[in-house]
Amino acid sequence: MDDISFTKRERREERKAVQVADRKSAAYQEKVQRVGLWAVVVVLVVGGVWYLSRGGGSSGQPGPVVPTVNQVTADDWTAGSADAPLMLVEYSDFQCPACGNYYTTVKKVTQDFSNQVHFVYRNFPLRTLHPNAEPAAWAAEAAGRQGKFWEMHDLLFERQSQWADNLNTKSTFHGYAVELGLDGNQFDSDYSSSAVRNKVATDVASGTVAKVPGTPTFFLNGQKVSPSPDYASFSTLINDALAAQK
Amino acid sequence: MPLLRKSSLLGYLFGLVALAGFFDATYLAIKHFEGLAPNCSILNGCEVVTTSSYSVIFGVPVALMGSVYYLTVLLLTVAYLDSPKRWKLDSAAVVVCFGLLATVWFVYLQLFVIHALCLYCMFSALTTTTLFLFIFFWWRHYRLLITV
Repeated sequence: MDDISFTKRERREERKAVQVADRKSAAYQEKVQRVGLWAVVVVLVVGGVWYLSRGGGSSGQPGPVVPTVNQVTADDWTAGSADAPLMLVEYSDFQCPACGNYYTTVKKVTQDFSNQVHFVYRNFPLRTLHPNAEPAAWAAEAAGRQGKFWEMHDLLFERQSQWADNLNTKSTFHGYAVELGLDGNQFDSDYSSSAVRNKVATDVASGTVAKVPGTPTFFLNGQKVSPSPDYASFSTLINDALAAQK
Repeated sequence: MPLLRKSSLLGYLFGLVALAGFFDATYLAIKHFEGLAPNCSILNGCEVVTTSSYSVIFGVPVALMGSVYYLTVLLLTVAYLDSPKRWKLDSAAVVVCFGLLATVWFVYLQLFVIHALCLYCMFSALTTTTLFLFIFFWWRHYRLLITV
């Protein structure tokens, strides 16, 4: 009698223990599932962003060397003599009104001092302020592929007010290209090409490295200079720099 | 009471769609910050749309907003799958409704103002519409799915 009741209790306890263990393992499994779910989501999100930012499935190419303010690269657009004692680098934005103000002076100065100053133009479109500045830079670069960078550069500054608020600038710029006697189809394909996009992006990166605060920013022989947009300030600056070298 | 399988499956599908939208928007956002045009092989208006003056609102790129939006929906969904609370579903529904409104606006801009279509943007319109249909169904049948 005693024996039987003992066995019964024993059995009951055993059954209970098994139940607790079952419940524990079910809870454990649920926990594993929940942690697993979050882990999968985090891995997918982080991994996906990492893959995309590495240029996965994109037009991204290995970044070219970013030029510095006291160095001219083969990709740079330059005017004046390469052997000139001075080098003037401008970071500019085709849509920025101040850059438009400087344009005439800079053009005259670089022509008058073409033997003394090696002028370099780099794009620094302020995309958030000027939505058309970057497309304008692409247009100038695309024209440059057909040998007319400076012609497009001049046209863009001269007609800044005409295209600055345009919505479909691509067709406007196409019109300019045709006006300059460029091949329109070639211009369109260059305008959209990753080579042109990357060139502008490289210029921007160069300006960022140089800590360009705004546009236009000038560097004379690697030193940041801030002349007024009149001819006299520019020529004084250049004459002083030439005198200092002698 | 744990979720029924049917609701759970729906939740996972919903999360996958949100994830697809997230990758899409993030890709555009990254391209925006790199200053590169996205690869567009089928529709030829990507650079027109993604560089238009409508691609940035108050200095914030639209693509980045989209990226944050999809991530929010995704996280709410996963949180709901983790422990189903009504408020998570409701929040996701509200966010998706705003997403749908934004989508309608952007599709309108592409069709009638910019006159160019961007493949990635249209894909995003598709994912948000899908999310909305899901939410609509999920919401209406919430009781049916949860308590049987």
